[in-house]
Amino acid sequence: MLFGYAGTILEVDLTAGRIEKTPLPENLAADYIGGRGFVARLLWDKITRKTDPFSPQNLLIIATGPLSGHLLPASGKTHFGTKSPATGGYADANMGGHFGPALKYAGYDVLLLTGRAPQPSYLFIEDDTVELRPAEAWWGQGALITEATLKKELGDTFKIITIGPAGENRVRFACISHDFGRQAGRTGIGAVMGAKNLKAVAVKGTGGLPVFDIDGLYEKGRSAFEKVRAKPGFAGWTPEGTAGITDWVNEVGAFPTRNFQTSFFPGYQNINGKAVVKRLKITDKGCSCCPTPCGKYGRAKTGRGDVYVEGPEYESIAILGGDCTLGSIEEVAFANYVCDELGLDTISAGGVAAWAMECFEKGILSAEQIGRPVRFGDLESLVYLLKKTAAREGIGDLLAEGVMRASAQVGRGSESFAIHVKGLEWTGYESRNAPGMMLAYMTADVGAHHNRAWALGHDVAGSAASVHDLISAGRDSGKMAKSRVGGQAESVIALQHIRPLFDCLGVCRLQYMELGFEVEHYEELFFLVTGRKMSWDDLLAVSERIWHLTRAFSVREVDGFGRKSDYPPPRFSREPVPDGPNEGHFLSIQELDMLLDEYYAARGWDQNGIPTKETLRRVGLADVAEALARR
Amino acid sequence: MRITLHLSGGLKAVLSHLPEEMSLQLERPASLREILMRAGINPLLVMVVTVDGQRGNKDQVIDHDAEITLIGPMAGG
Ligand code: SF4
Repeated sequence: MLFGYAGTILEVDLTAGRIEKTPLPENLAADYIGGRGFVARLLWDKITRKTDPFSPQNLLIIATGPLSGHLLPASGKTHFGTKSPATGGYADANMGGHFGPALKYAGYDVLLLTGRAPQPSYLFIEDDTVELRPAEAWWGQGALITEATLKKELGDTFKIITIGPAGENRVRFACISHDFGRQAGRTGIGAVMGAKNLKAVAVKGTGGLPVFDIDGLYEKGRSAFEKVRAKPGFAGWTPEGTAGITDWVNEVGAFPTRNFQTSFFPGYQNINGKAVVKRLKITDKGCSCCPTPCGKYGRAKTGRGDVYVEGPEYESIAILGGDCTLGSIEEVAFANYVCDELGLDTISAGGVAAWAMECFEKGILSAEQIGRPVRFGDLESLVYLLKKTAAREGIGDLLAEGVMRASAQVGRGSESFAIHVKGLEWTGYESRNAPGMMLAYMTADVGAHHNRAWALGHDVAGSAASVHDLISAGRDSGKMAKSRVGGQAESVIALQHIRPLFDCLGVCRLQYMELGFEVEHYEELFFLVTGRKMSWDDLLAVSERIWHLTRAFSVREVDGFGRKSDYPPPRFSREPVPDGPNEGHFLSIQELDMLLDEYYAARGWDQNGIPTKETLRRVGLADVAEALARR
Repeated sequence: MRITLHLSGGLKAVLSHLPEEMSLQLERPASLREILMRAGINPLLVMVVTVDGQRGNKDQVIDHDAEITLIGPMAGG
C-alpha cells in the first residue's frame, strides 16, 4: 500500500468523454514524490514530441503531493502542468487553497486531462462519480463569478477551479482561478484549459487517506502547527503577508518600475503592505491547514466602484503597481481584481501592459494602433489593455501573445525592452545588480519566474557595503555597491532544488523560507505520512532529478533550445539603471556568459546548456539520455 | 538597556557566521539601524523587524529593554 497517497490517477479524455481510473504506479511515487515530480515525469512520458500546446493532444495535469490534504501545516497546495503556450517548453504552476486536498479525499492523486470537449463543459467529481457536464451558460463569464455561481448550484463543500474569458480566448498567459483569489497563475495554464473547452472542475471528496503512523502524525502535525506560530518571525511576517516586502525591495533597488526602465519607485509607500492592511484588508485568508494565513481579503474603493479582492500580494503590487506605476493601493487592487475576473496572470498581464505603454511612450505603437493613448500611471489605460487582451480584440490580439511574440511582430527595437526569459514575463525583482537573482531568472525551467530560486538576499549580502564602511560613512544605505559577478552558481542550484521540492511534497514553502521552520520537521512528517525514511538530502536528490528532466523536456520540445534561451532581454545588459540605489549598474554580456558558464559546469550540462548523457544517467534518467541522443 | 536580537528565517542563511541570538547592552537610546550596525549586521539585510512582538521599523528608536526579531530577505510569494 502507498501510504499518504490516494492511490489513483484519474484520466479524462474530454473528446471521447472516456473516464479511466488507474492505480498510481509505486515507482512514480518513489522516484518523483508527487506534485511537480508527477507533472514532469508524466509530461515527458505521455506527450508526443512537438505537440501543439493548444491541440487536444496536449495534457493538462493536476497533481497533489504525498503531504497534500493531511493534518499538518499548510498542506493545501496543488500543482498544475502542461506544455506551455507561452514558452513551448516545460510548464507548471502552483496554487494554494483547498482544491488538491478535496481531489485526494475524492480518491485521486492526479487528474490527467486530454482531448477537447465537443462543447464548453465542466468536470464534476464527487468521490467515485465523475461526469462531464455542459457549461455553455458560463462561457464568456468571469472566473470569479463562475466560481460563485457553481458554488451556489453545487454547494459550498465543492472546491472549484475556473477560467475566465482570457483562458477561453487562449491568451498565452491566462491563469486558472480558485477560492476567489488563488491562482495557478503562470505559464499560460488557463489557456490550455480553455483550448480544451473546459470552463471549470468542481470536486468534492469525502474519503480518508491511508497514513503510515496516524497517531504519530496527529501529534506531530499539531505540535508543528504550534511551532510555526511560535516562530519569532510569525508576528512580523503574517500581518502584511507577502506585500510586506515592498519597502525592502525598494530600499535595495530591485523594484520593477516603468517596464523595468528603473528599479526604484518613489511612490512605493502608497502601495506597500501597510497600505494593504490599513486601506483594504477586511480579514486574513489562508489555504488548507495554514498556520500563517498570508492572504489579505479586502475591499478597494475606487472611482470605478468598490471591488472585493484577495491581495494584492507582492508580485501583483510590483508589476501592476510599480511596473505600470499606479498611484495607490486601491488602484492596484482594482487592476488585480480585473485580472482575476478575466482570468489573466497579474504578472504577465502587467508586464505586457507595461511593454505596450513603453511602446506608446517611444512612438513605436500609435494611439490609432492601440485604440487610445496608454500611459504609465493611468489606471484607465491599464484596464483598457487588460480587457482588450482578454477578449483578443484590436491591439489585444497582439498583446495576448505575450511580450516575446508581440515584440517580434512589432520590431523597431521593442524586443530590447520585452522583459521575459523563454517567453515568460519577468516577476517582481529587477536584477541588474543582482547576479544570483539574474542567474535564477535565466535558468528557471519555466521562464522568468522567481519561485525556483530567490537569490536576491544573497546578492544584497554580497553587494551591500560592509558594516565597517557604512559606519565610517555615517550612514547605512543609499547607493548599492556593484555586485561581484561569479560564484553564484552553487547557491542558485541549491535553491533550485529546495524551493521546488515543496511543490513535490504538496505543502507551502513559506513556513520554511520565511519563518525558518526547520527541515527536520518535513523529514519526520514525510516519514509519518508515507512510512518511507528519506533524509532531506535524499529528497533534494529527487528534486535535482526533476530539474534535469524539465530541462530535457524543453530541449526535446523547443526547436533550438539551449544557451540562447537563457539570456535576459538586451535592456539588462545594455542600459545601466538610470537612478535609485542601483544607479549605473548593469550586467554586461560577458558577465552573463560567465554566470552561465559556471552554472552549466556545476550542473553537468554542456556549453550549450544541454544536460550531458553522464549527468542524466547519474541522476537516474538513463532513458531520457537515450531519447535525447536519438533526437 | 539590554537588547536581545533574534535572527529569523532567511537571515540565518545569509548571516550564517552569526549566532541565532545575540545580546547587547545600550547606554543610551538608539535607532534600530544603529543597533544593527553595532551587532555587525548590515541593516540592508533586514527586511522586517518586530520589537517585543509588534511590527516595527528600522528607524524606530529603542529606549528600553527589548526583544527584537530580525527577519531577513524573503520572496514575495
Ligand atoms: S502561507 Fe499563504 S500561500 Fe502558504 S499556505 Fe498559508 S495562506 Fe497559503
